[in-house]
Amino acid sequence: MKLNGGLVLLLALAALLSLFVGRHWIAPGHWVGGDLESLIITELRLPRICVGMLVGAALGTAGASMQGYLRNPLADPGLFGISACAALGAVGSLFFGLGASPWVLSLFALAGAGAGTAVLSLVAGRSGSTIIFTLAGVMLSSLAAALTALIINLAPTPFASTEIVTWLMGALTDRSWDDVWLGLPLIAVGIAVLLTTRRSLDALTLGDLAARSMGVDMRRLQWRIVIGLALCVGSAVAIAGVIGFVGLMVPHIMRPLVGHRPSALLIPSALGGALLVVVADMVVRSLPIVSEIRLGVVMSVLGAPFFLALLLRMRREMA
Amino acid sequence: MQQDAGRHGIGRGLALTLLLLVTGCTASGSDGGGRADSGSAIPQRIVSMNPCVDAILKEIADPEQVAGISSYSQDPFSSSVPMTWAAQFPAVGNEAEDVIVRKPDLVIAGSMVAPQTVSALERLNIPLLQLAVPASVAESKAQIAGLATAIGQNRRGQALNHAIDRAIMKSIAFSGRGKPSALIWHDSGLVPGTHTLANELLEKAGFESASEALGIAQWDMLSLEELVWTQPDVVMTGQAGLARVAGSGEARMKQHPLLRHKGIPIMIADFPSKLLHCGGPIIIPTMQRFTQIHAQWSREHSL
Repeated sequence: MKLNGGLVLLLALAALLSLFVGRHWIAPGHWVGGDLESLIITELRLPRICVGMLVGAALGTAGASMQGYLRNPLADPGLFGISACAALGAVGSLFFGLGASPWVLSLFALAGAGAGTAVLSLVAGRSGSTIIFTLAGVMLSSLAAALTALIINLAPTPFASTEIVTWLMGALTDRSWDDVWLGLPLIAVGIAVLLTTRRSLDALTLGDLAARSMGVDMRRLQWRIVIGLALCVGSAVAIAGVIGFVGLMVPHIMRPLVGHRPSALLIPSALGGALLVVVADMVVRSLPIVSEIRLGVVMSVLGAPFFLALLLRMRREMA
Repeated sequence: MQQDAGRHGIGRGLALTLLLLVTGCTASGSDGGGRADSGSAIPQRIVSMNPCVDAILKEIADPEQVAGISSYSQDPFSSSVPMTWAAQFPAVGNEAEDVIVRKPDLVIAGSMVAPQTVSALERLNIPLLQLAVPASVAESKAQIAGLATAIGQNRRGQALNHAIDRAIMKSIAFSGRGKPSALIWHDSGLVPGTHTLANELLEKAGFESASEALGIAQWDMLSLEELVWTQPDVVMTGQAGLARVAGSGEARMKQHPLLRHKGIPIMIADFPSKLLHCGGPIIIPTMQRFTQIHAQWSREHSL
């Protein structure tokens, strides 16, 4: 509880600080009042921070759940193709003219994430084999990337191609309250569904057989994980594009603070994910350049060395 | 609000990506003639690999001279020529094989065609004219003149250049009433900077380019926050990307609630993305659209 309280406090501070950050200084006295400065705060920076919190919370919870369910510390929705599947669904809906409404686009992103999770779950199962799971993730990620590349390849204008590529890089730039209202209910339900798996995930740490003997319905658990991940990852991708490594990094940062029980990790991961994305976005916005570096790019730059360090640590432990 | 000049660099990567993707979609030419290997005889089987070259050929070539046009010209989303004109000719893709089967005596391509394709055409001794991206009206006109010479249609080339001059002069004559600041801002936030043809045309049409104040030199991405902070009088948006492909109404960038807010005194005008694809004859409708937008702004400000 103390940790969660501390994270909430840090998140609130980061959000407040984030309101100050941008290429133009806007004094708190101008945050309300209806003039240009106040509109930038209320219509651009505030919804952007909210979208960042939602996306971070969704990806943090999704990562912690995946790692608990698959008993694989490398599991991450971005790394193993679920985000790529969601992006494929969203881009596909736009390309084929079905994405006129943001809700339809989200639906396709959710379907993509759900299908990706289901395929991963079916191919790798919960065998505990890191190799099979990793290979299944690589396969899924490659397939989704290839199909997305096909859409870029077939895009009728270079502007369309650029739009896909830009969107795939992930960003919170120019998000509005519409995006918040779109993502909030879906991500809230997704996180709620994943939170219902807490006890089962704890039981699963003892192995499949032990979990069954403790009354865990594995089939039901699998469906709840699939639905929860689809809602969280699909919604996050629908409103912000692909932002990777949040689901990998945050649970690892939180684990030493909460112990190894998956149930204890979910809420701190949600709060930590929100904090990480808001802070990273703040860094992105504070760089003195006209054209923003995409948040997804920054997260990948941060996440890849983290992933490498994680691999090296695992290798040391295995030796 | 003045940005330092170095700030335009980051989005240049994206813009460069765009331009690379535009290989088939952006006419080009840094000098008048480009690189021509054609002999002295007037070519009778011209194959174009670039939709902007197609737009020029439509104006200056005899249809009988054209043996193939870019496949982009037969796609209504990327074409800069009427579909009825494009339908007369076989379409060629970006591969040498596509081109060779048309038995060309002159191939005209953009500067960013794959080096392997150029090499394949050279190995087969097929005359090739490559044109680069025009960054100004002068470059675009020189490109037309050079192309006209290469295909033996000097008179039509001169006529097209005169038509471009007339369209620009007409727009300049109209633009006496006020000088609103303006920005072209397309899907994903793509903005042409000061060293682009689009920007020169914008200024010739009587607008003050907001790109200069922002320090954008080539093409760059601009956030909505930066845009509303700069607060140009006019923002020209268009459906350039997927929203247009999906037929989903107006450009997605334009749908942001902030742009509809009463507290933001920016006039939003539609600006078809096709007008950004090419120079050459497309300069004429581009100037007409700029003039219409200028007239609308003048009316709204009772000038």
